[in-house]
Amino acid sequence: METKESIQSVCTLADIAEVRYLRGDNTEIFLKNGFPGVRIKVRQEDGTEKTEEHTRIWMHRSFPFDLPEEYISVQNKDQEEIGLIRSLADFDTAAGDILRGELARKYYTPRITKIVSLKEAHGYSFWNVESDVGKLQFTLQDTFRSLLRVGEDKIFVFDNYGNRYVIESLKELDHRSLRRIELYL
Amino acid sequence: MEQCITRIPFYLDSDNRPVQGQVEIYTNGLRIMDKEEKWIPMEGIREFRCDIGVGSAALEISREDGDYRICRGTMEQAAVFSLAAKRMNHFLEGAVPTEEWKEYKKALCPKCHRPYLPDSEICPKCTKKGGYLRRLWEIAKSSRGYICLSVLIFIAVAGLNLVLPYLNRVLIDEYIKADRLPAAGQYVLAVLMILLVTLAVRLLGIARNFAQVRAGTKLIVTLRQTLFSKIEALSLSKVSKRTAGELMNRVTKDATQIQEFFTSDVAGLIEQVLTLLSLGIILFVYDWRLALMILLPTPLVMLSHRLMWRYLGPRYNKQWWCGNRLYETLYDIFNGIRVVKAFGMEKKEVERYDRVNRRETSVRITNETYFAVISPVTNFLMGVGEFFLLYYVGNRILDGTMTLGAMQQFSAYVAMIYGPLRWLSFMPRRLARTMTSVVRIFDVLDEKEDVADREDAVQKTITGNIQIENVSFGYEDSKNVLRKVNLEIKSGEMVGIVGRSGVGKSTLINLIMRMYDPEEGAIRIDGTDLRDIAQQSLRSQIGAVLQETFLFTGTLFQNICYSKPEASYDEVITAAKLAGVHSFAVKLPDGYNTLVGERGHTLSGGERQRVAIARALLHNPKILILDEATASLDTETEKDIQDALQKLTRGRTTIAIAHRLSTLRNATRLVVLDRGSVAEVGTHDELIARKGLYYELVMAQRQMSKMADEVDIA
Repeated sequence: METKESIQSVCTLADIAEVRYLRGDNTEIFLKNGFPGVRIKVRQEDGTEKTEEHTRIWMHRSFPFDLPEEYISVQNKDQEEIGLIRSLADFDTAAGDILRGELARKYYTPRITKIVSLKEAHGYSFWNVESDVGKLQFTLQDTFRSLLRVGEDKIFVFDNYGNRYVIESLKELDHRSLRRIELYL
Repeated sequence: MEQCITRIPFYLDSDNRPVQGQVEIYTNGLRIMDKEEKWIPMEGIREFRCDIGVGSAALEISREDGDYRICRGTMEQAAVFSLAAKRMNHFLEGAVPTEEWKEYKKALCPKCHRPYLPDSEICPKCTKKGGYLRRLWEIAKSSRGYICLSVLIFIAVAGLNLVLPYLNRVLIDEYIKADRLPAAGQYVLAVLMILLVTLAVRLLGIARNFAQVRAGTKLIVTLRQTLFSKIEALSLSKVSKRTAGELMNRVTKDATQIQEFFTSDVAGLIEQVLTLLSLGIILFVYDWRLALMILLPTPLVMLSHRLMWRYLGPRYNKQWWCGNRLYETLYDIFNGIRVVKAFGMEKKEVERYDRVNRRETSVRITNETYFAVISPVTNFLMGVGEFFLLYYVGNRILDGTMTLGAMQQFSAYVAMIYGPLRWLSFMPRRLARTMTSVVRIFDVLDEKEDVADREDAVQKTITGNIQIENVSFGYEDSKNVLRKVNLEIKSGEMVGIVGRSGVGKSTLINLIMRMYDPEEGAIRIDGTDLRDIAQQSLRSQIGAVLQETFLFTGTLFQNICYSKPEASYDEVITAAKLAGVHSFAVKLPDGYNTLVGERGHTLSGGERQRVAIARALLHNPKILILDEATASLDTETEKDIQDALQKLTRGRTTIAIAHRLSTLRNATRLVVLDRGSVAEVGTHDELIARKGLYYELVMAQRQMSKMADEVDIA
């Protein structure tokens, strides 16, 4: 009997952490001046419901490379977490689009479709690429450290200013582009 | 007409599409122009802000009715947006815009439109090289003689090397294959000549090494010294912009690179070019058809060489990187061996190492295979000229138009001509590498000393009255850390500065120590502006015990005397005793001779702090600064040291920052900072009675310690 009791008294991590998950059924998403805001339904201790409003929220991906649409921390102006979105799929299309739009702005990451040229000199590498937003050129400092492979064939590229670019799939790159980048993988 | 304050270009719209836009900011409003035009009046704007995201940045304003986004850009524009926001906030606070506000550091190189390196106007691609080399030559003043000498010797060696094949030819044609028998004396003479020339080449080689070493050491000493004193002279803000590792690299690696360039590459270049030219001339004068035949394959040789390196270079680069990773993995695992064992992850770590190891090996094998196949082929190509020569010369010897000696001479020349060619094909790479180092070094040397001593800066003995008048200051980003701070500290007072983290307490102290200069306002000591006092004179009268204590590699004794090298043993021990160092120092087997610092005896956080306090005590300063000086001590020890400090602070101006408010109980006055401004000033009792910010802080801490007490009892 004793053992059973002691098992019961051990609480799980989730019990202690008190993560507030935001979903479509407890949170309303709206757009103000081009910035997303939230209205969250909160159940108070006396059982009544109250609405908590934040006219502007900041969103931060917890796993920006492998889970871009999941575990998104929603923060207020003082960078305190208001809640956590487990998945954007927990919201309807309209709300989801508002959130996706803001994420796309904050995490501006052009998709590289073709590597036109890649030259290395003086420890820097100079890239000319075609992307979904047109032709781009940028410079990497320490090429090897500026590339991040996620999964089998997704590559993130970080330039010397902290801009990010992504190659969604190495398989979809043409042969020449692949050969240019291959040496750094 | 309203005055235009500034213009900001931007390149990204709110849907992440690239645009060519511009924001014009007038005194009465903002005009935003991309595809369409928009006007936002200045009235009602509370604040400008630069919101830096992860791949983009935005300039925003904040108004009564919420935030507005003015414009967006990629990360290279973040600096421009930050600066613009900072300037505009100044404007909102009443500052008068100047012409300077219209200018921003360019982010893009005007020539190739690539971004400059961050925080610089250096384009890694098209930075001009000639000017830098001339300036380097200036720095190399002291070793110029030796550099010239080594160049001369290089030339002499090259010349003598050319003479040898000629002598060989004479030997063969005149004496060995001669129709008539030569006189024995003449023959010996010729052999002696060859011996002499060979000997001269060797001796000159020794002389050349000597000159090179002299030139090199002199140069590198000057270079390192120049760099080091420059770095030491720079203000904290300029230095902390770069990491310690980066600065180390510049002083050591980059300087070495330049030294090598001057001592071996410059001389080598001259030697090789001269050899090539003179060989070419000799060959052409002697027989132009022969010369052509030899030179014909040279473009092929150079091309094949270049191609080989273009192909192999990046592959070796990859191999080097994999090796590096292997080393890092090992270092990581060994460093964390306790964690590995604690979680029983040995097997997993072995697998991790194995993976990296295999990868390195596979890259290495591929590269070696490539090299094994490619290098014989290029070597063969390089030798092709000699086959042509053999055929042509053979024919001519057979029909008697050429002698055996001449053939010998030519073969030697041909063998000699490919050396310089190969060498020259590497030159661009070496030059490029050196240029990177040169640019990096001048990047430091050209940095403006923003906290420089004025020419008429005075030596001044201070008594310790500090006036802070209207001081505003911000680091590189848009927000001002301090805003219009006014404070007067009388000589002999102990002032405690309190406030939440990040309100600018340490910044204020940095300004008083003149690590930075205030952007607006002034700090005066005894009525003299800090900027008018020689820094060395000022700092010799300020003692600081900082949050992070750093112990230099050396003995405990040396570390305490750091602030006063001429101190006597008595003085050091008194200071040590007061600071509580003595009690643990005498327990160490080596006493005060114990080696501390990076590689020595590791002292605990509290012990280090006490050494730092002893250092400050020994310094006997007029102004004492305590920045969380006793934070890493337990309450008991802190009390002891507090008592010591109290003795010390008597009669000295003391400024103390402490999180633990009890530390400040001896303070004559407390200054509460909030959001960069002085919120409250008064004694502990006055501030408690006021029930303001300080009261809240005290209550919060009391709550905490009460909880701690309860835990203790339980």
